[in-house]
Amino acid sequence: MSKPIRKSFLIISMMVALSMIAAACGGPAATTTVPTSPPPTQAPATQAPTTAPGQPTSTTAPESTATPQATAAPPSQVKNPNTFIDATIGEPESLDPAFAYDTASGNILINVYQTLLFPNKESATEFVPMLATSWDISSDGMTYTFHIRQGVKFQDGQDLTPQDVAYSFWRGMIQDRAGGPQWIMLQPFFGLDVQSFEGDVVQKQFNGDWTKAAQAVEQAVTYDNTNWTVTLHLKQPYGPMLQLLSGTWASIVSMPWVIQQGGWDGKPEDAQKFHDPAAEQDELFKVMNGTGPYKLDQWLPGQEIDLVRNDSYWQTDPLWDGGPSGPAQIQRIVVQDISEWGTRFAEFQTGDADMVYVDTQYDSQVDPMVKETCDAQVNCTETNHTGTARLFKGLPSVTATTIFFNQQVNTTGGNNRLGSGQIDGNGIPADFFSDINVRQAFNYCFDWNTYIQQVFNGEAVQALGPIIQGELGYDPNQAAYSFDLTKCADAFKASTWKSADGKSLWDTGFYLQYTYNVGNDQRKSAGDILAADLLKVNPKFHMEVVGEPFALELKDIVGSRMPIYMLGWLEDYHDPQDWVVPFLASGGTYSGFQHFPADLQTQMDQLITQAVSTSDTQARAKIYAQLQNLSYENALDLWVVQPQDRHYEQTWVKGWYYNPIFGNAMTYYYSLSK
Amino acid sequence: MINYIIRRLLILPLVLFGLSIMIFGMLQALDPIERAALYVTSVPKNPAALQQIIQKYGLNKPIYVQYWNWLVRILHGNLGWSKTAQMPVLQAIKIYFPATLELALWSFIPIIVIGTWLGIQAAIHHDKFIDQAARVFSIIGYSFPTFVFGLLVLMLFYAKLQWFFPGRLSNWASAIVYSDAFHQYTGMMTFDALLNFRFNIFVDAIRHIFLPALTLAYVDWALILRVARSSMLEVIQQDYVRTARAKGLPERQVINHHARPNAMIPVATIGGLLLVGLLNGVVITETVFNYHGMGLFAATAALNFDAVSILGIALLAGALLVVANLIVDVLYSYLDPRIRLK
Repeated sequence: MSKPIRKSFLIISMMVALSMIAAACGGPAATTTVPTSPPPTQAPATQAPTTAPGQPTSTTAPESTATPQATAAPPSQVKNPNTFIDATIGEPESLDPAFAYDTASGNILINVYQTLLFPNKESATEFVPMLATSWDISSDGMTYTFHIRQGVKFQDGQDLTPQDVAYSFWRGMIQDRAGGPQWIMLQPFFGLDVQSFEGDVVQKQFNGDWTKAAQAVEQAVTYDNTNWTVTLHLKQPYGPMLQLLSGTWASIVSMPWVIQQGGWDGKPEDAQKFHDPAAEQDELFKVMNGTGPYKLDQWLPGQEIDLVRNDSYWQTDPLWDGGPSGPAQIQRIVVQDISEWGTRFAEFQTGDADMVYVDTQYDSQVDPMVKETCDAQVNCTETNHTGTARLFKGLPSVTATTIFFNQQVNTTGGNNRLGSGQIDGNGIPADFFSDINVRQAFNYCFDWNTYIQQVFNGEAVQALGPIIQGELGYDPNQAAYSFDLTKCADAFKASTWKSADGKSLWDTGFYLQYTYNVGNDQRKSAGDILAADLLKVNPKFHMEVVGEPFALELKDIVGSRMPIYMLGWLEDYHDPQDWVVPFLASGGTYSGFQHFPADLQTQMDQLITQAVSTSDTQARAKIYAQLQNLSYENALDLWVVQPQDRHYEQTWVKGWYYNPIFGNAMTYYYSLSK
Repeated sequence: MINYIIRRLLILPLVLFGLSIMIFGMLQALDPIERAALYVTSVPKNPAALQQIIQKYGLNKPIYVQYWNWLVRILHGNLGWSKTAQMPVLQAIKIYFPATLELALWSFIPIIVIGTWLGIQAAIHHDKFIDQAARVFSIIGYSFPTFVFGLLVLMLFYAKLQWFFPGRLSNWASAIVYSDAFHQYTGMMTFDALLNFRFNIFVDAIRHIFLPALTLAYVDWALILRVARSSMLEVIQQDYVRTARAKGLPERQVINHHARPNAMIPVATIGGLLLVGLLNGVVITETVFNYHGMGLFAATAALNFDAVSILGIALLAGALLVVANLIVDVLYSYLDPRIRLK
């Protein structure tokens, strides 16, 4: 190498080194530090993990690295007083409220768009008027009339009208994208068996006539701009109707603005063109114009979404006692999508992040930072004087995990999950789980206590059936299975399965594969615990625990190819209906692939229809309790746990509260201050 | 040489064509439902929705139809929509590639300069203290798992000292960079900041890129150091070096003029490959430092079975490899006059 080149190399390397040193010594970054920190006595906050709401919580656990422990410089002062940074995981699917069906989108939507009614602070069952001022329900429970609030402005300055409200519902139902949330809105108006607008409404009810179907949508939701009302005409009474209307899919958009963005003009004859768009072709994919306290500033996909305060926000009075009113207190909200735990944690340690999403397995890393610990009712106790964070624990989540039994496994083209496919000690037949003794035995062999202690640090409750704690029809004293190896052995001995040469299942043994989605260690642990106890009961009982990527698992679920597998569910709306349908109904998200006995299935379907078609809460509670009991008596699944949530925030954060509907996945930033 | 370069570049379309055929072929091993999984976050409420998605995206069409549609689209300059990046693939590459390029430049230059210098010093002072120290230094770097080193420096320099930060920019800087007041010429924050005369943003960008660049450099120094050292050791034992010494040339001139250029050939080979590796993105480093570049994009796309994104990324990677190899070949002829490109 010649001398001049060597020199230039030296110069470049010196420049690199110098610029880095200069940068390092450049003083504090432009984070504004303010010498005030009112540590509140009461305050919650929230974060957002990412799971599709109302859908199986099947994809999970994005990170896997160990984090070296380091003592952070304790953040003693409020950092960035006008900006709130939420260090979380997950990328919104879309910013269109009609399209979005995941919590990362929901977290943004609830702060920018609004619904007719809103959960009453912590309550998941009581609602306060938001864009409506009041509502009337007809005595037959089939007509809902909403009085729309006057003087509300969208963020582009236009006034909210009853027509906007009706249009928002029409648009959603007509859009009904594949795999989206609009089935929730379609069922009350078009029938309980309706799953999709095109297949079940346009094709089945209107013989493929899109215009007539769209007209029917417009007749189902009517508006009166003179009296400022919107009326919903239901096909049958629908118990959880108010719950549905508080969901993000029922958010109100501005009709003129949507048309301006290239959206549907409201004419029935044009409806078909706007059905089931690809995410990116949807006119509201990345633009927002709501009536809410925050406006979209920018979306940097994969990195962050920034919201800014809506300074002309309409709300002048609190929606509940002590609730927020007027423009939001915090000017700017930054929702960061940081998949790596170590990085999120470091941001929280420095105080850059006001709130952080923590996976259960990393709780112990954050706990030494905790100054005070609170419960869901915001009763706090100081646990560590030198700490800088606040922890909320024991928050009742609206998720549950279940181990499913498939009573008729699909074996087309061979299926190695069943081993040899017969009772010979090396496999099981396709209908192995059609024997109730086997299903009960698996239930008795599951050690809930160990699972809850080891995997959830004790922060979970045993699930008693599809209906979770806190819902109508849930009875904490209901009969349930408990870990009992003797009963497990007895149930296996009572099984009617025999090998070809007439030997009992107990004497022959079995082999099968248990499936979970790769990366979800909680579900793997459940399989490992169950497998170990089966082996303990009888060394001939082999259950192999197998992880599958989500895409493969999805194929196997809808192909009904797995004998036993674990999945989770996060509710769509807070009502037992959203639990019994996916778990017990024929064609349910999960039960649709489990092949329950026909007479039991008919009985359950009838009960489910009865329960949803009445507005009488007492009557509904009774039917749901009956369904819950049927799921126990028939040991349809192994109901595992309903976990409890945790929430971590800096002590300077004020105003957070826990509502199970938002869980630790969505935050109503409007209630927060620093 | 111009002829040679043109000929080599003409191979590029062929390479890309072969690459795309291979990827399409491999995609056929996936069931349409597995590919539809990209468009749902969980088991769909309504199983018919999966069929609807398969129809909508044409996932069940014969492979040649899917390939032809893709080819026609790409010839119109449309690489498709990346579900992973939530934007068109081309736009995603336009955003993520400059980020990766910037990180690659800030780490590659120190890797080559310091790595080579240390390697040569080690060779010249064979088995002396400098040699031993350099080897220990490199072995430690080489045996450090990237994520451990990355997290260690993150904990020390960010969580503890707060000198350097993860991400690409601080929030205040990001607000300026993505506003109309700032023109993004290159997509590389450090350079754009200088071009916009925003020195505070330059300093902020440097304070964000320093740790990932250091992490990459430390791990890769070892490689360059060892290659440079062994190659230099070989060269200084050659006859012509002995001759140069025998005729009384100063040691400095022997090393700098006669030995080092020849010892650089293997360094150029490894350096070229290293640069391609860096330009394709570095998944772990980008993940640890929340630095959104090609690596993170590619890894997420692969995990999601996002075929459209993977194809776009693979085409870019293929093109980079061809071009980088070409540059290395040209560099050979510069370093060693005996090599002539025809």
